[in-house]
Amino acid sequence: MGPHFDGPGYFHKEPIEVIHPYPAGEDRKLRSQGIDCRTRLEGIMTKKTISMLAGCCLVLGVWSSSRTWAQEASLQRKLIGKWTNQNETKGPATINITSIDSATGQLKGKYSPPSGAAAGNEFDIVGWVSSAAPVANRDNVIVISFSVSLNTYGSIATWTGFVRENKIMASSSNVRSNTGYEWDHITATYDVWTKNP
Amino acid sequence: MKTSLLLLACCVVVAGSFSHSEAQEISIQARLTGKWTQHYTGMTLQGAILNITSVDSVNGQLKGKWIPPSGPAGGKEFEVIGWVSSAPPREKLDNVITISFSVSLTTYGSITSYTGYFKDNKITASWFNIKPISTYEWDHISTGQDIFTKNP
Repeated sequence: MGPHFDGPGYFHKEPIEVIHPYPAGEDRKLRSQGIDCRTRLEGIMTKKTISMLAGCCLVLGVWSSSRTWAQEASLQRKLIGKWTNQNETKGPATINITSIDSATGQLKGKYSPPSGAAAGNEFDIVGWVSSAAPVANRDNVIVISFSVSLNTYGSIATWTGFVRENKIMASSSNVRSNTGYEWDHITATYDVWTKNP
Repeated sequence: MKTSLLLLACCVVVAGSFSHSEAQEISIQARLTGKWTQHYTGMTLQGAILNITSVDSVNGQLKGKWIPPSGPAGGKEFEVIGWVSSAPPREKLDNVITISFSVSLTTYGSITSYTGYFKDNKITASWFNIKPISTYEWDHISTGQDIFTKNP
């Protein structure tokens, strides 16, 4: 019997059954030199266990890091590029997602308005991409948020939503500097972005 | 003589407008950078701390930190990015400084964005929170409105 858990918080260790790897004479000889075979055997076993554990950890680490890397690469492939806003009332604005930081999920890119005084100009976008480990029987998505400061007008627009079936579905809000009423600075709507071929 | 006067006048106008916009910029930065406390509208929940560390004077990009008050992410700091903007004030209109910022709460995989304005030393913002895992397809995005007050 090896060590086992006796109960919560307790670790009970029974003596290890000694298997003599050395002939009886050799055992005595080693003992006379002050070497305990049991200690030596336990040492060998511990070393073996440690190297096996280390090997397993290494394999798991490589597997999980390659999986994470593959997931990252797939996420980048999925999101980086040009997307067009399908909201007909706003016109076909485009965003060009140029980078996603693999460590922080920070997104960068450009926004091109479809019309008006700012049309033809490009504006910086900043935002985030994130996710969590998928959970069974739940709806699992990649979440995304980005915003643009349209300094032509002094307004800022933000999109917050998720990626599903090659579309970004996002609630959007726009805040304007000058309005006729105090309650009219923030407007909200819902947009769907599709990736350009 | 006329040319000199004209040149002088132009210089004064240019210098005046430069110092005015620079002063405005400094004022916006001074007013916004620092620690803010979030107040949920209509709720008694303890709010998070928003620490605005910089506002770029050229493009208005905002950077900072977000410190949630409780839960698994409580006490940790998360990066905040966003924008500050404005337009020249117009008569008979309500004129505000616009602001937007967002935070990726990596503990949960969720993102919260705030879009609103700065007025009367307060930030009033509408927020959207997006969760990566939900029971229903329609349950990923929640929304509300918060007020942020600057810490003394």
